[in-house]
This record gives sequence, C-alpha cells and structure tokens, in this order.
Amino acid sequence: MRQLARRVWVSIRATTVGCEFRNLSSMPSAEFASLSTAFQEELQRRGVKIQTEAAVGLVVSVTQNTTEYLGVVQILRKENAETIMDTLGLLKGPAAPEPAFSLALHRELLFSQDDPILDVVLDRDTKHAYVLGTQEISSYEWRGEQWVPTGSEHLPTHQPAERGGRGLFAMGIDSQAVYLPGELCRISFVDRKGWSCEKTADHMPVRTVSPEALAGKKSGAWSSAAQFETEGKTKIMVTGQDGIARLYEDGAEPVAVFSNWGSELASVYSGCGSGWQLLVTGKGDWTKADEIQAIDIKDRRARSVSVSMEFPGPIVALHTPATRTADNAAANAMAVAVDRNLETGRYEAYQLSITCSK
Amino acid sequence: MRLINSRLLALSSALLLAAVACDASENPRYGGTLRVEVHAASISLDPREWKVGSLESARNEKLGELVFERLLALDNYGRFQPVLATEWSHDGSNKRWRFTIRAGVKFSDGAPLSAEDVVAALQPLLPAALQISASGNAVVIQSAQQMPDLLEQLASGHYLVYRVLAGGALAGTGPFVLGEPQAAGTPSRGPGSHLFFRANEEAWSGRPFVDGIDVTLGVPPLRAMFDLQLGKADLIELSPELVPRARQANLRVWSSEPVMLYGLRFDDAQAAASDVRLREALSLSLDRGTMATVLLQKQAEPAAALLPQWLSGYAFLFNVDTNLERAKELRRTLPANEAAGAEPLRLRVDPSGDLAKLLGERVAVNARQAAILVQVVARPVSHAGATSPAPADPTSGVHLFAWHYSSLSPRAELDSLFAAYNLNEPSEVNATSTADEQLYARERRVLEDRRVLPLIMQAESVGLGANVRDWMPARWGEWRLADVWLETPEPAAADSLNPGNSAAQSSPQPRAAAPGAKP
Repeated sequence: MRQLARRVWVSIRATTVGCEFRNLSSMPSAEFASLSTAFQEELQRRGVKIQTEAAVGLVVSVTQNTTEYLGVVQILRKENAETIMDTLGLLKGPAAPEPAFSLALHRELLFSQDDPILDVVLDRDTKHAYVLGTQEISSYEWRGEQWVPTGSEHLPTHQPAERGGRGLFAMGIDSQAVYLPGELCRISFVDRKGWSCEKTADHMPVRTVSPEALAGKKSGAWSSAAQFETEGKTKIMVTGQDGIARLYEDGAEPVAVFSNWGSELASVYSGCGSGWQLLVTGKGDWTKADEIQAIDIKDRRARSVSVSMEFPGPIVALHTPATRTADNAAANAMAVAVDRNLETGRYEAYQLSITCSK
Repeated sequence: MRLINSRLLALSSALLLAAVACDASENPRYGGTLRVEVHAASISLDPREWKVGSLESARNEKLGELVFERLLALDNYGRFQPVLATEWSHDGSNKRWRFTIRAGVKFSDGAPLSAEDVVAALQPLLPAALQISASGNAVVIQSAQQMPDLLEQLASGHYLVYRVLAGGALAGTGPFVLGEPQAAGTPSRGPGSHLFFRANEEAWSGRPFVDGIDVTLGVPPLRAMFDLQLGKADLIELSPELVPRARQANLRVWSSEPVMLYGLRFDDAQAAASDVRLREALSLSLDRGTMATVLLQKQAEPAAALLPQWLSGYAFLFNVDTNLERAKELRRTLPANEAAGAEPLRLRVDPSGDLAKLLGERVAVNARQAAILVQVVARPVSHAGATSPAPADPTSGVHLFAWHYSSLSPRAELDSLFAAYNLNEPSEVNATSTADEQLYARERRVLEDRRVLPLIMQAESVGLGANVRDWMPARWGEWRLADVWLETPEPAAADSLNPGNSAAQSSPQPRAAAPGAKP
C-alpha cells in the first residue's frame, strides 16, 4: 500500500488532497483499516496534507480479482482524472476461520548505513552490536539513547563481494566466524592472529537449524530456512530458490508447499496458536517495498495471523537473533530484519518482536 | 460493485441457510444416481472441439469436468490447489514453468498417466506461442513472452487432460466415466437422449459419492423446472426468467457470479456504423438497467465493462449512464439519412433463443427514443438437408453477441474476446503485459472507441432437489459434482421405488475430503 501511495504522490503534485476509502473486497476490516492508515501515513510523510476539502480528491478502493487484492486509486482533479492500481497480495480467503488470537509485530530501527548489512548481532549486554558487511564487521555501542559506530574490521576475503550476497556472523566465547558466499572467515582470540579467510563449498549455515537436519531434506537450491516446533514435532521450513517454500517433518520429502511468500523467513515464539510462528517476507524483487507477516502452521496449512508490517524497501535479510539459546526466552520472540530503503538507498537494520493478545 | 457485494452477501447467506437447513455434522453417504437435466440437445466431450466464449462450450466444459481433470484448480478463496500436478515452479522471468505430474494416476482405461500424456493432451489446446514438453515426470511450458498468469489459464477453460483411445474416443482421469446406464438402474425419462456417467472406482482423488450421473439432454426450461418440483430431477439448468418463479415455489436455487456478457459489436459493413457519433448516441440511449431488471428479472447486471468485476477487479471503474438528451443532441449532428427511415441501422441477433431476441428488440426501442432507427434482423439459419440455399445474410451495421467467460485469467479472457470480435487495440498499449493497470488501459481504450458496447452480464442458475447435499460449486459456475451426495430415503423403501437411487452396498474407496490439498 505504501508503494501505491508513493506512486500516487508522484502523480498528484499537490500538497493537499481529500481522501475517501472503500473496501470492495473480502479483506477483513481490520486489515483494510491498517492499509488505509499506511496509505495516509505514506502521503503525510511526504508532506501531503489530507483534508476534507481539497482541489485534488483521491478515491482509494481495495478490490479483488480471482486471486489477488488490488489497490485502485482514482485521482480526481477538476480538469481530468487518473487511475493508478497495484496488487496488494494474494487473497486470504473470506471463509477462513478467524484465529482466536492476534499477533502484533513490532519493530525498532537499530541503525542504518550506506554499505550493505548482511547480518546483525546484538550482544547479550544489549549495549554492543556488530554489523556484518560484505567485507567488514562494524561495531556499534549504545551511548545516550542511540547507537554510535565505534570501529570497523576488514575481512581478508579472497574474492570480491557478491552482489546481493548473504552472510552470517557467529560469535563464540573465544572465537568468531563469518560465513560469506563461498568463503569462511575465522578469528581466534587465543592465538591473536587476526582474521583469516578460506574458500569453502559448504552451504551457509542457518541459526537454530542444524546442518545435519537440513542435509537430509530434498530441497534443491534454497535461500532461507527456519526450525520450529508445532504439534509436538520439530519442523523445518525451507524457501527454495524456485520461489516455493517447503515444509519438512521427519522425512526427506516435503509434506506441504507454499508459493505465496518471499525468500526470507525466520521463526519466532509467541506462545499463541501453535506456539511458534514464522515471519515471512512478501513476493517481489528488490525494486519493491516489502512486508513481513506472521504465519501460523497447523495441520500442515499456513494461516496468516498478523497484519502485514510494511517496510520502505525490500527485505534483504531476516535472521534469528544470535542470542537465541535455550535459556534466553526473550530472544525467541525476536528476529532481525534488514531492508534497503528505496528512498534513501541506505540499509536499515530492525529488531522485530512479536506479542500476542488472546 | 455494490451490486456484486450484495450478490456475495446473498450467496453467503444462502450458503449459511443451506448449512443450517441440512445437518452440518452429517457424514456424506455413498450411492444413488444424480439426475441432471440440461437444455442443450447435444454435448461434445472433446475439449479440442470447444469454441472459446460460446455458451455451448461452457455447457460442454461442465460435463467434461466430470470425466477429465486439469493440472490444477483454483478454489473459491483464490488459492491454487494441486490436481494432476502436485508441484509447480517457474523461472525468474515467468517464461518457463515446470509442473510435476502426480504419480499413481490412471486413466479410465487403466493406462497410467504420464508427462507425455499431458503433453499430448495440452499441445493442441495451448496457444501456438507456448511450447510444452515432457521432462521426466514433469512437463515444461515455455514461451518467449512472460506468463505470470499461466496458473489461472491452466486452472480453467478447456485445459483438460485426456488420452485418445484407439477409435478416437477419449479417456480421462476424473471422478466419473462416460458409460451405459446400469442395467438395473435409471428409469426412462421420455424422449430426451441421455448421457450416463458412472463413478470411477479407481479415481485417484477417491470414488465420488454418487454411483452415477444421469444427464438428460434437450429438456425445455419449463419442463425441467416441473421435473425438479415433481422430484423427477435432482439438478437442472434454470433459465434466468424462471429463477423468480422457482424461488416463489420454494425450490433451491443457486446462482453463479455473472458469467455471460451480452453486447453489441459494430461492423463497417453498413456506413452508418462507422460514425463514432452514432455509436455514442446509441450507447447513451441504451437503458441497461431495464434490460437487467425487467427483461432478465434481476438475474443480470447492467454491464459497463467487458470483463466482470469478480474477474478483473477493476470493472467498477467503468460506468455508462443513459442520457437520452445527449443522445438526441448527437443524433442531430448526424446526416439526416443516417440510421433513418430509408436505411435503418440493421441489428443482427447472433445468439439463438428468446432472450437474445428480446434484448435486440429492447435496443431498437431505446434507439428509437433517440431518433435512431434500428431494424432487428435474425441471423439466417441454414437447415440441414434443405434443398434450397440459406437466405443471404443482409448486411448489418451492428450485431448482438453473447460471450461466456471461460478463463480465470483476465488477460487471456480479454485476448480471446478481442480476437473473436476483431477489436483492434491502439498500438501504444503494451498488449503483452498482465499488469492490472495495462489491462485496464486496454479495455478502456477499446470501450472508448465504442465499437463494442457491453449491455448486460448474466449469471447462471441451477435448481437443486432437496436431497442434493454438499453442493459446493465454484462461484464462476463449475459444478464440482464429485463432492455431491444424495440424501436418500430408507434403503428398503428406496429400493422398491427407485433402484437407481439405492445406497451402494459395496465398500468404495473413500473420497478425500479435499483432494490434492495436501500434496
């Protein structure tokens, strides 16, 4: 919806508009209200005032075809009219039973920088943070209500940074490791030799998903994975590079497939519904703003259990926090997301959390 | 759009009422013969022969779906469900799609379904620009153009998988098999010819609940309604004009979304029709509201767009109001002899049936109010076996057509409609894009040219017997009879009265509750 608002903003060239919202679809009223708010916020953020009386009127309709919701904006001017429309995602099904709970996603902007952010690790003391870039690790410290950069360490990689690459930063007690596409960098605080990198053909690991568990699954080339527990079973969801997400239980074959999500996902624990939920990104390439929503998996079926949280750019990384361990329950309800703001071009790291109301 | 919402609301309410009326916790029962009556006198079950957009093709499709299946289906919530394909994926540009074919599926002649069978079946049905090939247990469809809506296309229309048997007959994998009526079964039902579809015991999705479906062809609409009232039929096609009467008689009636478009198409064969002012004047004179509410007794909606709202999502942006004063004003700017007494605008009514004729006459009445003379001419019919040639088709400036939507892809549907009626698009429109905005622009430009004028969109209605359970059709009209079951009287009594509807005593393979939902 924010993207639609941005397109409207480019077209209206006005500072004051009138707005009317119509839901001509099966979209639940709460979600429609959220989209309407997002649309207005995006215009207001760009300096557009929304008033009852204005020279330019906007009629914003949410409608649907056989598979998708559509946002249709009629721009009504005295001299002419114009129509702008965009898809708002796949239908969610009017007859799907409403969950007995609702989850709210929250986000907190940690920091933003011009260089790509591949991973973010927050220290347990919550006062230090480390940002993995394509060829360096930057340190941040929490000082007086904000994160302040304190330094940067170059990684002696053997190959140039990969465009749109992925990365993972793993912190141990006396060592650290960085996984980059085709490369593994390590540092030991015992031998004090500094960072060293070597080429590797291994797939980049995923936090909380054991490589052995993944290795046994027939998944093909994959982008992202998350492990979670529902109905007393440990399950793994893997997003393939073919655009399909596959759900695995005990066996090597997927037990269900889903085609409506983007390539990034992470698991979070809310205690509601099936207990664990998945945070998934939306479909679209890196030219489009993205969204994250919570999905509950039950009986091998996926059900959206939160309103989509919109971001000002594509989500380029979505990670389980490095601090997630069995004795850190708070970290179970969190994830880290990185987007590339389409307006500013800067990479932004967010800490996401999930809360449940029954 | 308000109309559509009301319809959805009405449909939801109807479903709710139906759910309340029958015991929601009742388990489906096997057995019995579903007796269906249709108006068409003949049916073709060969998807290769179906003509896109025709009413006949839509009827054929409904019965063809009993025998044949598609690679996938679209459910009423907009989700694609696997049928003969269990998985699908595409490349980043949407130009190459791969469908994994379900293992263990057999055609009704016992032959296993293979990727090669799917290729052989779909090849003649797919547009020439699409190449299909087998690759192991998968089929690959590719094109030089992007095909983001390929799933919508393959989930609808004539894209059914069949196998040509020796002798030319077709075998399918569907829940029913075309066959002879059971010897001890179907009672005679007069002169209409019958098709009997028996349950496919080997169907991969599970045996359907009913033992068979007895379809009587060529039943006149009123007769069909009486048969339903008298309990001689379980499911009938209901003509729009009979829907209010059926409701009054407390019969169960189900209506689809609007699936049939009636419209006018201008030809240059008559000089007057090439004048855009005349076309606009005629458009402004048309009272579509009266056509929908009076002629079709509220079983249709006035149409301002070519595609219905449920299919495109943007039809609500179009509107056409009757403006007789403006129509007269435009008429006055035209040459006095144009569409006047000496040479009226000739309107040829293409579809058969009383409804189309009435619509044609209503167009003429509306046009006359704007001082445009329209003469309705029937389409000449050449009688088979007649010794004399059919009368010559008088040159007409405009013709009334009926178009039945067949694809769930709005782009494919618009392409078919434009091709069928030779509606040329201005070159600056990107015809290959499926973006909704581009689609809207294409439709708007063609409508602004007024070579085609939508009149009304009509829903399809079905009358149902009280004993028909789990009637869960697609809102665009697919019947989905494999899930239907019949509530029968006590077996002993039923046996003595109607052997065809006795409960099956065998132990059939249970039908999956939602076939293909869990690949």
